[in-house]
Amino acid sequence: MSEVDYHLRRQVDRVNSLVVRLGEQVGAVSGQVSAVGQAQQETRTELQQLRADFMTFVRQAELTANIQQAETRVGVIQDKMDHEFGHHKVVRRSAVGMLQAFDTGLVSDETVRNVGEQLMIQTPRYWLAPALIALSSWAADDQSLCERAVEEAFRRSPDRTSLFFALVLRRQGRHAGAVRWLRHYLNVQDPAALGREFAVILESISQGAFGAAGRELLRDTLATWRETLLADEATETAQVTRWRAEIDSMRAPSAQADFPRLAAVSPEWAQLDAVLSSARAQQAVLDKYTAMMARESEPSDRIEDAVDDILDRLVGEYDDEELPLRRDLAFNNAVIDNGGDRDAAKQAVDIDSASLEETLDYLTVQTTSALNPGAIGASPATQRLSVAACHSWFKRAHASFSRDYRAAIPPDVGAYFATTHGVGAQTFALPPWSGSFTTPLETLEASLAAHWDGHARPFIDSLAFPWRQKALLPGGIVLAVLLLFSPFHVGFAFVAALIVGGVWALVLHNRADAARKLQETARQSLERAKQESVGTLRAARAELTDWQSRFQRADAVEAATRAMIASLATAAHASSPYEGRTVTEPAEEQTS
Amino acid sequence: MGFIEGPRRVVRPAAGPGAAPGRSTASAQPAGPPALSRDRYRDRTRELLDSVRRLDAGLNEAAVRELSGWIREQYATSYGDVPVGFVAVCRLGPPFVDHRLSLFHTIIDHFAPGDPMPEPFAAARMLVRSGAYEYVEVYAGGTVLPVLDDGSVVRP
Repeated sequence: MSEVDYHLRRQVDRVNSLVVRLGEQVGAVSGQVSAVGQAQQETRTELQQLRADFMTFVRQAELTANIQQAETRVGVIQDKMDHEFGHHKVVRRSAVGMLQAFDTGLVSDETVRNVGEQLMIQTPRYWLAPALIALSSWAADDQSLCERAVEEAFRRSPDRTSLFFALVLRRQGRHAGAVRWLRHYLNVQDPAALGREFAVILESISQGAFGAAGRELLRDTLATWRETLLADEATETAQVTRWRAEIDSMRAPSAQADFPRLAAVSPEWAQLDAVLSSARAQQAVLDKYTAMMARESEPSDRIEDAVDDILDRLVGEYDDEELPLRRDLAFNNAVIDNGGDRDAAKQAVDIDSASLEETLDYLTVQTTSALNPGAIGASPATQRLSVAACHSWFKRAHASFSRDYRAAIPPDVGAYFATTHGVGAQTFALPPWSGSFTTPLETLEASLAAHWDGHARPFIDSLAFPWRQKALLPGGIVLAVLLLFSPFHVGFAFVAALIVGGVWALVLHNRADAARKLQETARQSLERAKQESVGTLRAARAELTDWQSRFQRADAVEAATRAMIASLATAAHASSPYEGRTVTEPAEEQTS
Repeated sequence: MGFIEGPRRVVRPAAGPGAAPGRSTASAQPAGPPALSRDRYRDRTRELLDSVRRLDAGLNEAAVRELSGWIREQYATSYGDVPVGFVAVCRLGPPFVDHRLSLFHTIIDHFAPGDPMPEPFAAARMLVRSGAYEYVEVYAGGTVLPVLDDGSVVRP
């Protein structure tokens, strides 16, 4: 018996040791498997990295290709422009040269005349060529030729010719003639479809170039135009919309970093944030336009230079025929500037396209020179004048902007709490609680605390050791032992029951102890979480007060901004740098 | 609004409004858009602003009725459209923050922050509470026109 037992035991030992070795080997294999898993994970990460790099590369390659393509296109377009309109350039250069020659008197009439006639033949359809002939014949005192040349130039481009002669005569000090040409010019203008050069006229008003008579004429004409155009509600609304976009673009960035708790707790935060950044735009608008109106304009050294710059620009300005090419060129240049991003380039060109459109209505010219003076080549002085002229649209846009964000203030700001906490193996989920900050903070805090307590207590209680349930079975067994053995030997029965009960009691006691500890931990951690929640609520309330005061401060600037905009109406005339000191040359009495 | 039930002045003329609302609806009906809207956005006169402000000054019922009649008439003749009422800042002090005057029933109600305001007046509330407007006109279609202290109207 003992031999068999011994044998069996040895077998069992061997089996045991085999099992142990097997276990070790399995462990080794599992180690290898996890190593393989890790390697695979690494490979995947690298692959993803590779993919991301590849995508970046593809994008980069695309952008580079776009840039190269755009550069090629720019070259092609410039060639084409040179080829098709290169002769215009020659005329322009000649025109500038001729005007300088007039000023300095270094060139003989004969040469001027020859050049003019040659250009006339070389550049059919271009208005500047006959205008130059007119100039040269004027210099040579050939009246009949001069008249025919003027008529031809006027036929080719009435508005430009009128403006050209107006500016040239002004340069020569023939004010009466200049104003007469100006009237011609204004008469052929359609206020709803002004050419791009009208910005130049605005420019000359702001420079006070045409003397008192010219200014009167322009002011009257502009007033009539405004009235005509303003009768159309849609045109006016379009201007207001542009001003509104301007104000909208000045909204401050989000202030979420300053209100972290309110942002986390309040469902209305998005609205609050939007309202505050809109309100902060008031200061930005005030600063920008106050600075603009107060800025000293930097006049050219002599007013003649400033106005002659306008003449230079008019002469150098490209013709309507060239416009499609110019637009294409602008787009390709934008592609290069935006690093090959065609979408961004398109957007950039679209924004400025207003200035490349063939015609604009007068109100748009004014708005554009106020908002985006660079696009139509207006100077800061013109910008100021235009801002002043646009004050009623500015006022409307500003009023509706203020109204909109004020109306968007949420009437009731609330707080929302719903969290989950891990306690041991269990998770405590706090059911959603929401409250409104219109109720006093004490009430709100009490409500939140009560909500926590109300849901945390049942949870903590559920963690308690269920003595009754657990003790039922052992109790029964002890009783059974007692009943079973007491007929044979009472003492033994008691001892046995005591041992069984004692062991069980020990086990149960340990478990109960653990449960009590867990319960204690849960109580503490939930208490902490509750305090944290209440703290957050209090902090959010404080931040809301901060928000309110910041909003009120930002919003209070509105009155100043409104006053500033209203003051633009009276600033309209004073802002012109040459107001009251227009050019009056001794040659005033000469008439052309 | 249960818990804050404020003392409320309700002015209900016995038979008076019968004719008046009829007239105001009649004048509000013919919404000839362009000409009407131009008139509607004209600056409000100083007298009108003062009158609307005086509605809060603790007048007796008869005076309020008379005043709102005058206001209604002003709107009908000068601006071509009569608002159903106004919302303005309430100067009675806490707990009230704003009140409304309904030209239709000639009622003045004062509201605390937690009280909901009936439609279509609710849209005007936050505008009024910003304190930047003299009062806000509320029209039957739900249009809300804030009036600045210089009498100019913010267009929708």
